[in-house]
Amino acid sequence: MIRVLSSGISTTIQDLGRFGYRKYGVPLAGSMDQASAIQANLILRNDRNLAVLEMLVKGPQIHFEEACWVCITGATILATCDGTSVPMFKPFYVEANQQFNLGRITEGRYSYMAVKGGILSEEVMGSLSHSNGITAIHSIQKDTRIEHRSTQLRQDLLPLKDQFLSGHVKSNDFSGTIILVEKGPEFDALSLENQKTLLTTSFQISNESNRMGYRLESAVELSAKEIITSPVQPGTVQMTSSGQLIVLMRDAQTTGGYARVLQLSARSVNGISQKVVGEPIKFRFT
Amino acid sequence: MDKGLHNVNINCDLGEGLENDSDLMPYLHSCNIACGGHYGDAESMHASVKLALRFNVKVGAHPSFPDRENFGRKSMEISLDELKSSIRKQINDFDVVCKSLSVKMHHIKLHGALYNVAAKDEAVAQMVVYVLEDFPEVKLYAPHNSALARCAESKLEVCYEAFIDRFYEDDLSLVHRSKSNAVIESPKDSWAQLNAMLKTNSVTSIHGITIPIQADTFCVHGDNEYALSILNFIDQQLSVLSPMTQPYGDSGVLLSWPKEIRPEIYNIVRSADSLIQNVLKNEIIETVITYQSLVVYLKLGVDRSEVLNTIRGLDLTAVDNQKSESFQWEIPVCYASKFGSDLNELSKEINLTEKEIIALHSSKAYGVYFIGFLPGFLYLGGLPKEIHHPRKAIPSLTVPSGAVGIGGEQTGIYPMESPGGWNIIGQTPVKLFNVEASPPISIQAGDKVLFIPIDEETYYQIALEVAENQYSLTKTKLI
Repeated sequence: MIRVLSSGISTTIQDLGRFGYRKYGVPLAGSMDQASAIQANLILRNDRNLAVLEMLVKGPQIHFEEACWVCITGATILATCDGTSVPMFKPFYVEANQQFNLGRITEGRYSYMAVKGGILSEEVMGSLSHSNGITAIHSIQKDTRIEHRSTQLRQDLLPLKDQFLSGHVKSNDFSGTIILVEKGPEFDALSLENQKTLLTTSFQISNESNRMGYRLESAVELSAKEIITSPVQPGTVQMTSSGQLIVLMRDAQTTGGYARVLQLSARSVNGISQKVVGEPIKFRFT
Repeated sequence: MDKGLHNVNINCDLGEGLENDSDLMPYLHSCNIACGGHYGDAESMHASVKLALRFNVKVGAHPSFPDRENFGRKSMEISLDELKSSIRKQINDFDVVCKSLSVKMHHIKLHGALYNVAAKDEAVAQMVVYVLEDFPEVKLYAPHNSALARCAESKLEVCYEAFIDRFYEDDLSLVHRSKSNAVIESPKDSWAQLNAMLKTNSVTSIHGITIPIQADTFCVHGDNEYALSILNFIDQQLSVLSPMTQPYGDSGVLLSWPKEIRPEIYNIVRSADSLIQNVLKNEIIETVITYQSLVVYLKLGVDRSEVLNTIRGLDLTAVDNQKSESFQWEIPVCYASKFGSDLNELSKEINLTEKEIIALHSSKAYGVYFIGFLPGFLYLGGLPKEIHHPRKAIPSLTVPSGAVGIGGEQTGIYPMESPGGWNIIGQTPVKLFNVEASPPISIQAGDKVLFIPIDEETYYQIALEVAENQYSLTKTKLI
């Protein structure tokens, strides 16, 4: 059991998503940067789909009631365990009754903390991912009690720890500005000028960005006709009639009425998820 | 994405001095460009290749008897050697133009009389293949079972060609242009010929005999006065029958039908959905349908281009008559002003009394097209025209759970509290979406929904029953 002493800005429990229910309008949900979430699990020799904690801007303060192995990946976060700094991308052994302070995120947007054996939470429609309107709670609050699978003995991962200490795990470089895309279903319907603008302009991540979608800002003028409501998915780039670009993310609705001008690959969705407000990006065809 | 008409590979003879080339381009997969034999020079080839490039249409050389006077349409007294060097020059000239524009020559198709001669005359066919062997990456368009195709098969990649706008003789040669019934001018008849070739691999000759035919690519003549209307008509027919298919995300494949909200189209989408789910059940995670599209989400590691090929090979035209069981649901709605917060404003804007709006809204059952936008949000079709109304310019920050609204030509129910731009005219006390139920919503795509007006007292009575899990919706089976 983990007790939450303070919630952080927006801390949620996420696995890789809620599949099979999109025909009922249920969003996929799941970790924003799936590569980092999977990495945290794999470092702990967990199944890749086990639920992890996802943290935004500033993480929570948590109290571990039992000893366990944890691993932090994704955006760079200042983490301490009873005052000692906790390295990222490595298995870390927490003793019973130690306190974790997951502080500010200094580089990137979403950090992940996996626990050996996996974090447990209410399973709804085959997934533990927090989701508005689907799970009873949508984020971790102060005093929430987070359950995780049974305590692991310290020896379990000790050899692994040394292995990772040798430092061969790749870290978190989210600095690239190029986002690889394919044509969206309505790309060809855009004017040639708009097509060109889309692929040459440097856009910035707007502050109106969340798990549903990232809005993009730029000085350029774009516009696209609305469409008959059609399927959308994470990575779909919508263009509204007034030219607003929205990159749909993991909590996106399942259908939408704006032109779908570009489509990010799953990898690009992971990449863009780590972009913070004001960061520039450019779209390029794969 | 495969280009051309809905994956039907259509080619056209262009660059022959006519003005409609750019109108035809959007319908084509490839075009055959006159390269100096019957028409054209470096300049015209350059213009045509550039135009094709703009429309992403593949280009091929269209060599002919060197006979501009007769537009290459008469068989010519010419020695085999002379003809060989002329064809070689025509192809080379075309290749030079392609290279100058960094475009690949995709294919070669003979023109007019030469096409017909090489289809029958072994010597001419062998000579043509001999010339083409210098271009090993270039495909050859030739009629199936023709002398030319037979000679080429072991040496070149051959695309079998058939004609959409020419009548056939019993031996699969084209009715000679000197006859009055050589060219098909009616879009309807052209479509009938193409449709038969696609569906049954056969064509009906002018003598009414059904003859088997194989074709990978289909030709419409650019100089057929009706080429554009033929292509346009074929486009319309094909789009209802066969969807556009394209990759959509790493693990998605999208099928799109004509951009219309129409029961006929929607029924085809639903049938396609159940067929694809059946055929690809091991590859699919889930599918989502909307009015005129279907997205197929694939399991990790499934190759989407393989799935695209499988789907393109399916006959998605047959509407499934054995529909799954469907129901009509009665949903109680209170239209009192405390629930229908926009009813008063709407009444002024569309010039109907509130009573009239309520009567119209509850007058008929609406078809459930699909669920999207929010968990359990039903997209309903069939709203009476009189009460169509655009979404609000500024969406409300909170629309309560159960709110019934009008957005454009649709009506719907908010399954949970959410921001929303629809005009709210009432509210249902019933909870349509329940995460603990399986499926989470009982109303399914293909069902119908009828709104039953209730007063405030009944609203609270039902709300109480809902809270105590004592309420269930009235439903009747649809035949």
